[in-house]
Amino acid sequence: MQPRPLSEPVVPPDSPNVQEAMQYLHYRNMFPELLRFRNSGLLKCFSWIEDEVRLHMEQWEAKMAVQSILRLIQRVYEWFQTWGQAPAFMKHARGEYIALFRARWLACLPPSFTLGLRLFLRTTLPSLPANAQLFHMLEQLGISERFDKTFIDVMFDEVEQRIMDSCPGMWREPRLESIRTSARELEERWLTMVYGHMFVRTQNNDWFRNAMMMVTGRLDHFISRTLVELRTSEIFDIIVDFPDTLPAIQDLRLCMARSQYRPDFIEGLREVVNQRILQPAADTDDIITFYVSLIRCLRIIDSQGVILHKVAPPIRKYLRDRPDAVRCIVRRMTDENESFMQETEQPVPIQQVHEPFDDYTDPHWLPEPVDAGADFRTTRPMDIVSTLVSIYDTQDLFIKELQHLLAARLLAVRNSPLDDEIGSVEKLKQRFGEAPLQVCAVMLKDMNDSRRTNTHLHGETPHPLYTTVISRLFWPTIQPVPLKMPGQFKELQDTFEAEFHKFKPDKNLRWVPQLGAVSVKLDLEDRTVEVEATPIQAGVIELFSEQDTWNVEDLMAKLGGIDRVLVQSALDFWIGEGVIKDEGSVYRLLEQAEAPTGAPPRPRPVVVEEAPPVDEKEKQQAEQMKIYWQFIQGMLTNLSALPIDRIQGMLKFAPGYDRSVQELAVFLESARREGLLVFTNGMWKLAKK
Amino acid sequence: MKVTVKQWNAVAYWKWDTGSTTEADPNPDEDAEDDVCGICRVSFEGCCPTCKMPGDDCPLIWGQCTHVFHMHCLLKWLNTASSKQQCPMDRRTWGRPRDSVTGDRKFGNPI
Repeated sequence: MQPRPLSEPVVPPDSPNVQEAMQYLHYRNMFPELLRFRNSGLLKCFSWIEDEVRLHMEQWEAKMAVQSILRLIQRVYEWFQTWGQAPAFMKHARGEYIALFRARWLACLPPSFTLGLRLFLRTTLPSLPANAQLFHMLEQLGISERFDKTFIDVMFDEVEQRIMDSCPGMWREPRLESIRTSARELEERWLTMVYGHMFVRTQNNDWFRNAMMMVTGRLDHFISRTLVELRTSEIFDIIVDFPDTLPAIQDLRLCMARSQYRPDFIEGLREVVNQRILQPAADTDDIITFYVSLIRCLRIIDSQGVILHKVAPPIRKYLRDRPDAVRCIVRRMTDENESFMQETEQPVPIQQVHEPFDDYTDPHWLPEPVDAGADFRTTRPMDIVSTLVSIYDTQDLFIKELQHLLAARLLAVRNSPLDDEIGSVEKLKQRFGEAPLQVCAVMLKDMNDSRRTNTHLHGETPHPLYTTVISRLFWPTIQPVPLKMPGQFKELQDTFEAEFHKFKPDKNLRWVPQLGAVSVKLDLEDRTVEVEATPIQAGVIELFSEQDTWNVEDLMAKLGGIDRVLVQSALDFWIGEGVIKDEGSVYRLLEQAEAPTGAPPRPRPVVVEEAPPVDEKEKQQAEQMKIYWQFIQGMLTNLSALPIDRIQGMLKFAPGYDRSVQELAVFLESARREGLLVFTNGMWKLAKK
Repeated sequence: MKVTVKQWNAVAYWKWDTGSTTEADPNPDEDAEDDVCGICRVSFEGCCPTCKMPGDDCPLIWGQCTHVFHMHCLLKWLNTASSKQQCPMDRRTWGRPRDSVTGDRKFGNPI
């Protein structure tokens, strides 16, 4: 009855000798005595199993090879089986034996066994049916019951592995559904294999199903969480590649149906935005593109806009501070190919955007979600353009920028139709309203009128001079350059001016000589050069046709005293064309082409754009106006209320004041917006403090 | 070298020929700020409050008294009873100059 080492031969429990002995004991009613004897023997000999466990676990810890775990289990099972052999009539005591054995052997397992078991079980996953015997052993040894959490963990590990294998970088196809299916299938196979026979024993299938459901629910959570975590770490690229990544976004939406992952997602998104987007190195255009994609993605993930409401403010604030953001937005608004302009939804007039909006008649109305902040307001469903425009408190900026952009574009187009420009102005009218875009309408009309005028004056035959006649007050302020065009250019101008005056006797022309473009052909002795030049460049080369050598000062004087920089850059242009040579103090025309000398041509200076000087000038003006604010404040304090022309009249006495009433009006208006002034009944007053 | 202009796209802006500046004025832009309609205080080159398009759609009108206004502004004024058909600036009876509006360029001369 005493346990023996495995190496000793086993006495078959049902041999005649044993049976005889048992019957004797039975006769003497000594079974309880026998059991006690057996149990104490078992406990005494248990150190053998402890040794066995120690041996295998040491191996495991040394090599981390899951084979040690398998061997340990097999080995212990062998002990278990051998010791458990008992004569037939002692079968009723088997339960006691199993409980005792399990309790003892599980107690001597070190903590590292959990991990070992987990990793070992992972290896059994690919060939579950082949391991039926193994799971029987695990169940018999009580591992299945004691380590049930590990068994579930194994499944989670496997699912996580599958997600990590199949999902990173895979944004162009939906993954969630297939992962869920495969996880469910795995779960079914696994649980049936591990616990299936336990339930067959208890025959309590309802209980089994309930347990399964609980595990399924947890698994589902786990999948969602893992996928959300993964996608959160990839969110930047996903958003950048949107709409190609739509499936990934759809997956996210399904996962985020439970709002518990949202805080982490929002946090991750914010971090990405801070790191990748809101920094000086990022291009404004890219920021806007990202913002637009972000809006679109979050609209899918969370249609109520709570996430967007939490993520967007830093971007909006940052864009507001970027000086070129307005320009970028406006340029994109007028771009025919821009996708967000092609959205079919009805454009919302901008004025309504800032109003809070709750449509209680909407049958799909939902209360604000739980994680909405206190300052969250359901906003009117906005399209992208309105959202972008609403970054700024006023739309004046946009109108101004639009005016600049349109001006640049209109003056750049040659004789192509203006349909695109007209179309985009019409489209913008729907948003900004008719009145603010009036200036643009005037600009377009100027273009059309100019066309008619030119056709009228020159007939249909092509004429070298085409003049765009603009209404000065409706175009962006153009910084005057005192350029005087020389030679044949002057003649062309004069002729045109005279003809124009004949055509429109009540109007005079004032040239804006620095704007526009000239295509000239230079006939030199050995070659002809045809280039597209600015008027200043053309003027310079015209002077060279009168005389071969010039110095910069003379050129400046001849061109009406324009800035040295302008002349210099024009000269550089012609040097670049190989028409003029820099000979130290003078520049000489190259009638015959010269082989390029060793010295590399001077790098062409960066062409100064037309728009910035205007901005610069505005800034400067605003700055100067601040000086006059003190005068205005003074006179309004003394005289309490004044109409604008009185203010203008009095300011005229201030030294250096050269503003028009319009400019003054703009300034006063801005002061009113800042709450410094009040305007009532045509009179300006200081706001009461 | 010979320079041939194949195509020149130039830009110019227009100004009403109000006669207040002469062709020979060296600084034609100097007085630009002052040229506002006496009624609506908007620049002549802008448009009167009722108009949207400047220029030919919102022309000027010259009176015998040499004062110039947006035509629409002045007609509106003349239509009010209190105007008594007088120039709002000097209360002389409003009348067109004897010559056609465009004919006489020399309003500025003392009469």
